[in-house]
Amino acid sequence: MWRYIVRRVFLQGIPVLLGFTFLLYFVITIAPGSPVTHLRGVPNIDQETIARREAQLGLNDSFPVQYIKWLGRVLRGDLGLSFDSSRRPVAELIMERMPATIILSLSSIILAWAIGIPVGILSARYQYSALDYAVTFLAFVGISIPSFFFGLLLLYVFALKLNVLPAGGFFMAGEARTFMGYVRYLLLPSITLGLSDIAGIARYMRSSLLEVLGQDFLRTARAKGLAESIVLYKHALRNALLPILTLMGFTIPFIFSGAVIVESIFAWPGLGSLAIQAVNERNYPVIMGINLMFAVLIFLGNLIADISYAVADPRIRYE
Amino acid sequence: MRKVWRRFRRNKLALAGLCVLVIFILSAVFAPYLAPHDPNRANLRERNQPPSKEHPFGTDDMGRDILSRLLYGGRISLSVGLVSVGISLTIGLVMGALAGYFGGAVDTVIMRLADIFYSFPFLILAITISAIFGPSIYNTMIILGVLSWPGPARLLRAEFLKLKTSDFVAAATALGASPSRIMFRHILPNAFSPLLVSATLGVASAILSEAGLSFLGLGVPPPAPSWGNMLNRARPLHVLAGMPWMWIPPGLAVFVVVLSINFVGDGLRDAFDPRQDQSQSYE
Repeated sequence: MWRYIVRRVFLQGIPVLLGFTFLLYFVITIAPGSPVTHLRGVPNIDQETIARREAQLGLNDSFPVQYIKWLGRVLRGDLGLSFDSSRRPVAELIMERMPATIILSLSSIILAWAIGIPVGILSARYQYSALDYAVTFLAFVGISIPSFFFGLLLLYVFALKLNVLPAGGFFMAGEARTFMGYVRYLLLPSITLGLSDIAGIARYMRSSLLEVLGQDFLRTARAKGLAESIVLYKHALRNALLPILTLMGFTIPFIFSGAVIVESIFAWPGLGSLAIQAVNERNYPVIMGINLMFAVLIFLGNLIADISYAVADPRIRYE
Repeated sequence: MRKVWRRFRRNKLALAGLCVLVIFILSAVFAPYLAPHDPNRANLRERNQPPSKEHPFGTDDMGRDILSRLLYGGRISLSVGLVSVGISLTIGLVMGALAGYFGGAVDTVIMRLADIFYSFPFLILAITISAIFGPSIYNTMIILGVLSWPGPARLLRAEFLKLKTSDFVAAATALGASPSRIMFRHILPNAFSPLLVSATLGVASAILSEAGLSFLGLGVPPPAPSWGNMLNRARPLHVLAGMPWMWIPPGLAVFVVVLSINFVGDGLRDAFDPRQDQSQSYE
């Protein structure tokens, strides 16, 4: 199993991560304006000072050299300073916002699995029933409704009209962090963020289970007189869940993409809303840092998905 | 083709989706004739009006007619969807064909590149690029198109790997056809149906992405109306709570169009390949 994981990390994960940083660095460098542009506007500044500053920042180096130097700094945890007046280290800003995004993403992933899997099982169990058709139709609705529209609808109904849940935000200053408090703040954003995954997982679970149900070893299980529920939940489900595990790694980028919109609707103090703010201020060091952070989070998420797959499927371990 | 249409017609949802879609397309094409007002003419005396006879869907915070903006917005949303899928298909076609036909190092490099694009949160990259180059309709099309090439590329690569070893390719090679002729004249037409399905579903997700970007203020910039940026204007809580006519119609429009396209795409998939279970893929 370890060989499998090591291979996944070193042959696939790390090259993709490095390739991404290279692409990102390239895109940011071709952005109009350089880090010394703002100096040109400063009165009483001579060309010499600007040139010195450029040399200091390493802007005279060739692109690959600049990239390697930058990568070296990143590996030491130095993401530079924010462009705005605070001049705070980007790493600090990101660490401040990270917990909120992690909590939101995890809770919507849990929600998606906790709802999607049972719904998919029921749908497959009662294939071609009214329930099955309803699930299939609702799954289409789930993947088609824009998250911002769905989020605004939830906000409108539950926060503004019924007034039962907060209209966004995540714990006011000094508010006690109770479990019910978490539930109240997390409920609407997590449903909004998780909806399309609930739909996707239910659909995938259904077809995966139906495929397994058609296989020979299940006919054997039935033939030897096992009860249908044991056939379904013990024999079929184990095998049907396997391919679903690979979905986990696959859905993580979508969750983070969605987080940007959901955080912006619900005023959620996470990386997504920081990204929007940074983008609107053209705050490149922060944009860069957030992109990197997401790349690392996805890398880790894929790693977890790979490991759980290897644990669940003995065939992988001895490959 | 006739058989495909017959199978497609049997799928009620797909047929309904197609009808709705045709209505939306026609209303976008004929927007100049259908719109009761100029979509961009502000009228400060008629700001924030609820739906009335004069303005069936009401007016926005600048007194512009919502129905007219909705119709014109459809033009922008649909064309961004179509053009960006055109871009991603073109890039994906070339990349996928090269990877699948030549294999080896070419394949490895292209597919790793696809992994990079694929494994990254699309929207974060999209807002980053949009921030760098500045939001505009054309940039939105290009960003969405360039970022979604790995989908069609992977699909085409798989088709190429499957068809490369078939007899008709061997025959064409024996007759001395050049690689590009084999790739694009012989193999490509055979990969038509999966590509059409993926392109259809691609339009749906491009429309969703455009609306998302514009909603965040980084897609189609105002004053041009797009469904996404119309929703963006409705974000202040007092508008959300008190003036639902400003945000429910554009939100519904995106939802209904995307739902219809997804139904059509799914129906096409079944019609082309009746053996496959309809819920086989995960979008």
